[in-house]
Amino acid sequence: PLGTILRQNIIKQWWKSVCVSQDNVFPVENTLIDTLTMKKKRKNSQQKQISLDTLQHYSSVYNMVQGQLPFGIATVKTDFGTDVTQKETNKVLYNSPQYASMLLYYFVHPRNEKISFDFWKRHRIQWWKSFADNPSNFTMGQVRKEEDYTQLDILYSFPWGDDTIETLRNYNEGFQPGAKMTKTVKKKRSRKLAGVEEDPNATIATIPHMFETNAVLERAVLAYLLDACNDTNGKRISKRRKNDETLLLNLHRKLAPYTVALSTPERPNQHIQEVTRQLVQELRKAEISVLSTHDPRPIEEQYERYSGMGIPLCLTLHEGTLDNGLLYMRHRNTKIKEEIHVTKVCEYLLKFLAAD
Amino acid sequence: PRRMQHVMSNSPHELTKQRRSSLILSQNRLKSNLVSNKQDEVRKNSVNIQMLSQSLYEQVFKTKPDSEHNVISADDIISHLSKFELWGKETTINDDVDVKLPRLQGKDISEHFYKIGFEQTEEFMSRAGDFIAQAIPEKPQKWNFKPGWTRYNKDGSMSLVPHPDEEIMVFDVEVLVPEGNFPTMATALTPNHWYSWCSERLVSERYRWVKDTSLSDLIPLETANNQTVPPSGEWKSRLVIGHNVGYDRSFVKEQYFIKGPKTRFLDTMSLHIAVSGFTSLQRILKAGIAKESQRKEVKAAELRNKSIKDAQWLLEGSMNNLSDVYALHCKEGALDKETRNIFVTGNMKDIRDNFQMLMNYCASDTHATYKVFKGLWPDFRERFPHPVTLAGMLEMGSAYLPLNYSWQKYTTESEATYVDLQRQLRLMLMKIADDACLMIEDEQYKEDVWMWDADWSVKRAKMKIKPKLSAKRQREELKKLEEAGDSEEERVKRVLETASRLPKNISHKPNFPIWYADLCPRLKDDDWSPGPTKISTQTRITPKLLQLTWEGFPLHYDDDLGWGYLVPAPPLGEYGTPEDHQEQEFNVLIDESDAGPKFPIEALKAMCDSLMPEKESFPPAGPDPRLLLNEDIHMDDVNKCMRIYWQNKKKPKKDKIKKTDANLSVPTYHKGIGPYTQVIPGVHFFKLPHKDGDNNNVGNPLAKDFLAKLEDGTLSTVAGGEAFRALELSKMCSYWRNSRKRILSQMTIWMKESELSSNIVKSRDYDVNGMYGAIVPRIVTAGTVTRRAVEPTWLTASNAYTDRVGSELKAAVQAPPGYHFVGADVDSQELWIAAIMGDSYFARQHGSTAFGWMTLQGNKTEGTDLHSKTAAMMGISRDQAKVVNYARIYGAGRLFAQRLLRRLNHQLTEDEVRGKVNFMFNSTKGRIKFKYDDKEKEFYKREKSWEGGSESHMFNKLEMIAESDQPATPVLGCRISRTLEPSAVDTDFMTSRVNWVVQSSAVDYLHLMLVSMRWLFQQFNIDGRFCISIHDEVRYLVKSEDRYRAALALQITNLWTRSMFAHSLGMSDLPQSVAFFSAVDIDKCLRKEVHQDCKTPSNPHGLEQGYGLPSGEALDIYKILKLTNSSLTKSRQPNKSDLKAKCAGLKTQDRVLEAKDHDLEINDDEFDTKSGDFETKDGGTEPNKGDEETRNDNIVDLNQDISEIFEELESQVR
Repeated sequence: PLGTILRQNIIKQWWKSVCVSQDNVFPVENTLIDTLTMKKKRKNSQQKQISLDTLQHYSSVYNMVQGQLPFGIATVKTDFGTDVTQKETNKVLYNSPQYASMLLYYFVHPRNEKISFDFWKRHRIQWWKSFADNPSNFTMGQVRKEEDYTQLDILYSFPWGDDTIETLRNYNEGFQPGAKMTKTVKKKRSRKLAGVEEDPNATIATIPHMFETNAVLERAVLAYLLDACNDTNGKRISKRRKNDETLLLNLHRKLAPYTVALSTPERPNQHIQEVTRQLVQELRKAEISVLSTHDPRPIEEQYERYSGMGIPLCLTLHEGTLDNGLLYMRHRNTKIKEEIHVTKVCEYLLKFLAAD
Repeated sequence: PRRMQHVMSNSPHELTKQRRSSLILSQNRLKSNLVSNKQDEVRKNSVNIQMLSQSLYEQVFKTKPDSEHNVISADDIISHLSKFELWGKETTINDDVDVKLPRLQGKDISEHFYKIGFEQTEEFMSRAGDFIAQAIPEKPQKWNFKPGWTRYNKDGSMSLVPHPDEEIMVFDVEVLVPEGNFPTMATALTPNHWYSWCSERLVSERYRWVKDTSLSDLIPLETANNQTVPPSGEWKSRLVIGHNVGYDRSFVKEQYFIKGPKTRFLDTMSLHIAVSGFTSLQRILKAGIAKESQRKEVKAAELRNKSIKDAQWLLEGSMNNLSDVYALHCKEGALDKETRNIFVTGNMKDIRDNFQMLMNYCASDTHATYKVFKGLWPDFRERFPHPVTLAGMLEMGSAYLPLNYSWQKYTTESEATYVDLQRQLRLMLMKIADDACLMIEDEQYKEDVWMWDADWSVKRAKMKIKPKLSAKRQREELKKLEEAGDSEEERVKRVLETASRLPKNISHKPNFPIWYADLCPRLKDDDWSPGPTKISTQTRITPKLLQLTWEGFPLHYDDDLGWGYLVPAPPLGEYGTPEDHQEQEFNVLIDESDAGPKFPIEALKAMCDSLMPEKESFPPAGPDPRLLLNEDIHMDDVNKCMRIYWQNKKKPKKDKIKKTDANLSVPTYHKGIGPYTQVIPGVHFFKLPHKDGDNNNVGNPLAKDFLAKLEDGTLSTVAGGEAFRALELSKMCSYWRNSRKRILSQMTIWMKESELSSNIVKSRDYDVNGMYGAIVPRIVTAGTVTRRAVEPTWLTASNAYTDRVGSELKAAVQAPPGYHFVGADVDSQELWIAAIMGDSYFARQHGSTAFGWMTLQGNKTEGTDLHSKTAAMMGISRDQAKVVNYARIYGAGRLFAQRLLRRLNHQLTEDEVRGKVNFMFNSTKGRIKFKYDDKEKEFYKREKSWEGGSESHMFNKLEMIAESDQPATPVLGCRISRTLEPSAVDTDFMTSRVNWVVQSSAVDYLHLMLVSMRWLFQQFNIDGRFCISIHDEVRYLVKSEDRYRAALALQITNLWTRSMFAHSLGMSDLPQSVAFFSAVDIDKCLRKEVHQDCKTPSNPHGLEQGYGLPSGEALDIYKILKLTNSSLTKSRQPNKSDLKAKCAGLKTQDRVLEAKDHDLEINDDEFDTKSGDFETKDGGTEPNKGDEETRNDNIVDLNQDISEIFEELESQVR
């Protein structure tokens, strides 16, 4: 279950960054049939690398924006086979026959090609880094010039070495599916040569220039899990404090499966449970993800367990809480139990999640 | 008599006749050195160095200087060279170069340069002369508030004109700083009229949203609105005069055209600096006197010379701002500068409201500039008689940097990378802080040598106490409770109701240690984010969190002494005296009464034991190290007394000053600034060294000054991993952090297609969707007393480093389509200049001194080059030896060299250091020998000279020039600033003066090149322009089809320039090895080397992949001759395919050359760092953009000449 939540949280953040906070990027969905038929078609087509099932939505999106550039089409879709990765073996999740792509096709005026591609390059790598505990492990690969496009990979340093987690492609002028799929193009864009003035009044439909960003979800999950581990065993070894080995998954708070967990007292106390229930309700209402399950183990062990799940905060209500409303908010990384009033928890957590 | 002889030999025309015969070596001896037949064919001089080919020799040295050779006999030369094991060494022979040069103008090279320089300045000089001779028009009473130019006619009427149409003018622009890079108003004064200019933005009250300046916002001086060509269709030559005119020039529309305008800009500030400018040391002193400054330079000077206030040099010069320059040269009262503040802090409305007053202010500045010019011009002409000097300065003032999309990409990427790295850095520091927090358990922090004194106390969350209720109320409440029932709802409600007891100010991060809580923002802050986000490399706690060490000792901060480090005191009794024991015991007593945290001495000792593997060698075997130290203490005594004096003076109230006592038990295995024993009992505190001297406290060991220390490992961390990475990140950001403001505020003008030159638009590579523009750098053409140009961004631009964000700055300047950069670095320029002076002094023969020989023929593989020799002598690397060599030649003394060596090699004992340095100095500079003149005993008039070293002759020559009554450069006869003339300074500022000889000659070199290039471009119709000159490199922007011819022009220029030097120094020949640039770079961007990919964190893909910029070509003279058919003339039908084939054929050779280049180039990296140091120096007081006057002074501060650095360094050691 925790893995699924992590997956969903990553998708959520991707949508937010690629779709919600950009102008004119629209989500689309494909049916499985689409995907399968297109895959068949593609076998015979030259455009082997392109996700035609997604691009079939081109004209509807084009109409939606009335042909105004730039615009984009985004989708998260299941794909099969090893199209994107070349036959990778011996790598976890890399040779899976089925995987999920977080895919964006973006169309710009040729005039803005360089600026816009540079923007997406920065935007994507920054997205990866923004949830990382060790951002320097996310890097930009070398530029590869292929026949139809220029490709850039975003890499993560996996234990087996740097490997691709996302590919960015800038398609060449001669390879613009937009040109074929829409019939808006009246004549080929001709390079303005010396002395040959083009009629400025002539309406020349521009062939939009296409980029593609394609991140594989499974790899994102793996990369962030590895990133969150302080060492390969997931144990935190403090440099300052001797003999401190705690299980710790340092997931970013926005990716963590739960924002907060509630510890259960060692000796059950009805009154404390009542307040706890009330608090959990309040948090759920505020759409804060809470883990509140019964755990009979000693409290320190509970803390350690939740740290291992990557949950950044843990709330502990105790006898004193009944008296003055103060409870402990235990921080995953410092192990310090901050005191906070029960009525302030929700406000704090909302801020906690909203902060950059 | 000997001295006289050489003063006269400065001028080739006045050479004394000397016997010639003695120098002509016997042919037999020459023959014995021949190795191959090839050598037979080439011309060689008496010390076996290959000279110019016969053909070139005849073309350049048509007539021999009217002199014969020196008195030095051949045997003397041989014995001198033999002494340094250089005689008889094989020399390299290159293929002879034969090319038909353009005919010299005049009878010899000297006349040639005089003539072409004259040709280029004649018009301007006569106009300038007329301008100051005639009466100028009256300043108008009322100014016209209309956009564009207004001319004020003699009859009192006004007419709107497209631009002033006059040949000469004084010009001043005012800019409303908060508005950005937009000119607001300007005035011009010509022999006939006054003019004023108002911006559209000023007159029409529209608000402009556009942030970028465009061509139409600028001031037209030659073209009408929306026009790119002058009305007549022909560009006229004009002269625009202004104070710091480079600034005004950047607001002139036509200056952004790549081709066309012939307007030249003459800077009165540069004239002033050349004639009577202060060195930066003098400026500090001058400012110090005004403010009664306590700066160490001022103090040091006072110690030397009690009457500094009366020094003559103070009267001879002034600061560089217009007001002071005006006061100096016009002998009139100061200018009103108050009004200027409106431009700095005001808004458009303020300007409109005060229009008449402000325009009048602007005109007053123009008028004052005119008067300054009138006063300065005759002085300048007298002191800089050679026309090449003026022509060179005018050319320098026409610098131009073309831009394209890459500039935008560069700035965006650098900024984004910087922000990203800063984030990473913060994240990392936060993690380290989180980790340190864990030490609170079991109070482990008490054993941590860094965090022991942090504030580990915690605050608990506070609640207001339940109000005490009366017994009656209590009962009532209870009853109420019972009535309400004890439902779950009620119980929960009661808990929630405790919220009313929350205090108004909820405590901040309860249960966290205070030091950690201090790093966390408060919840109510706008930019709140969880965790200790306020942490940065600036926060006080950071060095401790990072567990920094200095030479292995933990860092510690003391309120009075700043940052330092802790060294365990030596065991009692081992070295200390009984008194020490008492003192230490006393300290321990104090400590016990003190409630503060206790330092974990045992932990420190344990750490030192484990960290110092070499500890066993300390104290080193041999003589008691204290004996060595004592010697040093004597030397440092003054310093220490000064320090104590200062501490007492600064903080007179504190008598508990932690003083240092030299006699106290100094830990023998460590030497540093200190020890201060009372900071922490039982432990010695040493201060970190501060670049401004030991009296200064270090405020942050993570500041830029300590980068080098981080790099060489002196400053390090034991935390490893993350901490080290944090330091690395900080280092990566350093360049951009210091330069971003300057770079991002560069005034860039982007041009529309219609505004671009047809050369660009017609080019095959022109991209309709591209961006094309330019920066006109605001250069002060003579910004230092050595007349070096000064500009804060471009002339200090560093080379690209893989670990510095944004350091690919230069490569972001890229040639527009249809153009190439053609340029070259003068190979070891300053060494050669120094060497040729020594050679001329000794035997008037290239390579006759050992220093000269090594410079010309030194060979790395044989270990006969200067750097290798020094490296071997001192046991340091060749790169380190370069620093030592340059330092020495720039005038640094033994103390500096000792300090340097000590830093480079920790292992050496004091004795060894001193021994090595003395040996090196004795064999290079030589020993000083005084000749007392018996007759004038009472004056102790002495004649000193250096003897016995490889560089003795060179230093003698330099000092002879520097100490002559009227020091002047030997080539162009440029006089030293009045503030440095012996009559003004007596024997002070010698380092500056000696250094001035070489530096100023290097500027002569540059000016000669600029003039020659302009002449060749004109003569042979090469379509190109001057782009920029940085240090000893020049770059031209040349139309692509002319690039090889431009490269040939550059080679010929070098040949002529070097020949001019030789000729002026009485030598009528030139070694082949220096005649030509080892390579001329033909490239599409500015970079140090054509194959460099300039990968940096902000340019991870390099230039080729990231910017689509391939390598350039580096061509030596042979390749250029092939490519151009040895001709500067444009071939009628350029056969392009033929050229291409030739290029392809040359490719393999290219690689060979590349390797060779690497050897030949003088790596000036060390000096880049140095110029970087200056940046920090003024980094804190970033000159206000609009504050023109202060800025003028600051700019100059940014670029002291190198000599002054050493002077400064030396004064510290002293």
